[in-house]
Amino acid sequence: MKKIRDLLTILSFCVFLAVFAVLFLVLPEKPFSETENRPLQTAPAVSPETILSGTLADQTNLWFSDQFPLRDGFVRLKSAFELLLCKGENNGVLYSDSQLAVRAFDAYDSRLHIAENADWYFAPTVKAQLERYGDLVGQLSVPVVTLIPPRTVDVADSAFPYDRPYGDGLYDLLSEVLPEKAGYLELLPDLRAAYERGEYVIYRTDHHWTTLGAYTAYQKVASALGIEEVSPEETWSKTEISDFFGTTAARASFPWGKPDVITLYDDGENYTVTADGETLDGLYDFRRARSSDKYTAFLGGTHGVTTVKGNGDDRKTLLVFKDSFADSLIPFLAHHFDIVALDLKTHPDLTAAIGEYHPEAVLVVYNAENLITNAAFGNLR
Amino acid sequence: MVFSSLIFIFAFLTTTLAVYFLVPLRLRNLVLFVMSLLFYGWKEPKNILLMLVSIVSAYAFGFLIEKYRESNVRKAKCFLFLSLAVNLSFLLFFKYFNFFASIFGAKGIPELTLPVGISFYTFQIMSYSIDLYRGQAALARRVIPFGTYVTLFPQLIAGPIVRYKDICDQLTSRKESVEKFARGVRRFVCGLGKKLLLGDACAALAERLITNSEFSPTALGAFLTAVFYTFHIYYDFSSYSDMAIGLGRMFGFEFPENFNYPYTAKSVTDFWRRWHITLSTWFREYVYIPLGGNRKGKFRTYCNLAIVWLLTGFWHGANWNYLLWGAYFLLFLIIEKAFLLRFLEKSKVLSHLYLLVVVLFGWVLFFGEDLTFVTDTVQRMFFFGATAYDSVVVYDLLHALPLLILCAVGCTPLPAKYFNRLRERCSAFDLLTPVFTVLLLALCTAYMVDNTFSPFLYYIF
Repeated sequence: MKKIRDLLTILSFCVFLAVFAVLFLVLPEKPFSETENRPLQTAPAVSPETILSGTLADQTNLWFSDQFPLRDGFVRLKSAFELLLCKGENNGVLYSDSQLAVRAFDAYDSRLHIAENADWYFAPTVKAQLERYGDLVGQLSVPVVTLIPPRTVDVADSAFPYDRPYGDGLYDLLSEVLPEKAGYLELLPDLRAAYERGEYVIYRTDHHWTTLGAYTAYQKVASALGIEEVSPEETWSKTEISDFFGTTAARASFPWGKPDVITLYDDGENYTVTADGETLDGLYDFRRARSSDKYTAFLGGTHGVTTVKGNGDDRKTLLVFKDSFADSLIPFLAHHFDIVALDLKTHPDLTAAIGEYHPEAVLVVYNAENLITNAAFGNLR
Repeated sequence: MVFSSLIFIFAFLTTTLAVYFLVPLRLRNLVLFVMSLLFYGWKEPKNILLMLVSIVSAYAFGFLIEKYRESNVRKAKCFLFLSLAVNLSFLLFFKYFNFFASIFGAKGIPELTLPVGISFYTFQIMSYSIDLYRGQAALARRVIPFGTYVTLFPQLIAGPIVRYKDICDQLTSRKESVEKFARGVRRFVCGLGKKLLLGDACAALAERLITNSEFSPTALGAFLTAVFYTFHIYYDFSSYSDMAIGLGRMFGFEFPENFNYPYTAKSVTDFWRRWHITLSTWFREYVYIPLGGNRKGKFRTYCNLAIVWLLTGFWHGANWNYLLWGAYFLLFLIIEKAFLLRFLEKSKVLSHLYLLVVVLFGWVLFFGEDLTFVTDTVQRMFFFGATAYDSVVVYDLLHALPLLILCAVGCTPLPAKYFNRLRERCSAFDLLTPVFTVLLLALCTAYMVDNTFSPFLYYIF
């Protein structure tokens, strides 16, 4: 009996090792991971230099885990076990049936001091950034509207037992520090109230707001800029992209959970859209809707300079300094304005851009996660 | 290469096992030797050279020591010292040069990195030379078995520290067997699980608590940091020994045990008989007893203890905190020897509690390469410059409770005891152990795959 048990132990152990070793060698390499949305390490090149420097060792380690057979399945097994241990999260992503949210971020203090995976943020650093920004916009002659889209964990506070230690302090700080000239529009109370009413304002599996969430922001911008808001649900045509698993889901890889749906509205206008000099088909890139990062269907993803031009001579220009949250907001605004959208991180010169494009107004969209994890906002000039 | 990596298990171990059992008996040591060199040089191939020099020098001096051992003790002693000097000089240079340079205000060599495992294999090599001189070990006549002894990959990097005399018979005539291999598999997988499921999780939580303490220092957070460190080091280190012992068995070796439920000890004296046993044994045998041990009066005993414990601390790392850590335990050992042990025997609960508190603070010192970490953590535990708790710490504590309970129970002999009892009483359950083993291995694989799982946050900007 004991002999049988021991033989079985050895057999199952060796078979397990051999099967995965062989599968690893036999299965074709995947250059890209759909679930994680990143390029994977492929077989590293062997040379005397890489051997001696140890880079071969590092790359081979990475190669093994990136190309490991049933990789996605194993990753899900791990996250399921983490939930089984009642941790309520995996890889820093909080889990509930209806919502996922990242809880901890790399809090930025200075280039030399970043607190990785902190539940907090450096309030004095953020405050200093906001003050610099306040000083900058105070000198501008055009109207400014500032949107700081809140993080999922702040909007969906009610979905988790996790108790954010700083409460809404970050958003209080924004209202307190930003001068009137910044045209700061509070979003958190509206989005949170809508979320608690069961409205689909933020994605379940992604860190962005949904088209409805972006519409909430659009309404606020419209009233601030004195334009007449439209109601797309009644008059515009609508396309839905289903099976969207976003960044948060990719980071946590929970084995169960519903995908999100992305809604794209079309007002029927013929816009000329360019991104970094190239002309796009329109406001939406439907090829990207079939890829793994479906959110990039909005304006074809991140670009340094994006322009949207409509028909008619009397259209005014709105200059947008943005991160990706603005991509789902711009289709609404394009109904009213020609848009010049600059990536805030790579195009920090606000003053020069105003001189160049002579906008009717400036809109700054920079989400709260970006605000606390890097210094770009304070570097605007 | 680390044991808890995919490349080790699915490439290195798989190949090594296959080749080892396919080649004729006489080539098996050579296979282990070559594969161990590959294992060792995987990340930094140039370290192989250093280790080979150590091996060859001890091997060559071995012949000289043996030659004069009986005829000319002075000469034999001379060669012993030379052999030890060569080996120790590598260790001293790579591990301690920069530390001493900084003490004397000289410029160190920043590029100097510590070759992995040098502290362990140097001690193993030294044990050979000394035992040979003492006539307790036979001369290693062939270089391959001796090289295999030093480089043997299961215990090369982090022990157990195997003395040559304990293993020399196994080097030349060991019996691989089904029973041994199976026990090895179970031990290895169990160690892997301890490391990946418990040890790493505790490390991650400690890390998070430390990060958050920068923003909001709390007494509860500081205390939990120490608790997680306490579990982390136990599950990290003892699991390494488990894996080493398990791997050794697969190849027919029996290594000495290195841990014996240290957190169930009831005094510091007892603790050090249960924690990193092979290191304590080494120091006792090659330092404490040669110095006279406890046979030369109270004062000499305390002096000898002091030497051993400062060396033990220093062996762990070239930094003040390790010296302090050694001194810290020395203090308790002396107090216990002087009078405390008698009192500790009176109450099991109190003595156990005392041990846990001493060990807990000991690990804070151990992890505090930056001494401000030590002072900060300890101060915060006593509410200096800290609030009692905040919502994140409480949240993390509640969500880590199952893990903490698992860790606490896992430190005791209970799981092994009941598991084995169940296996004895119910043969069907016993037959299921292969299933449990593979399931745990699969779960460990999942954790290893996820270790480098780093999704690219594609669209944040």
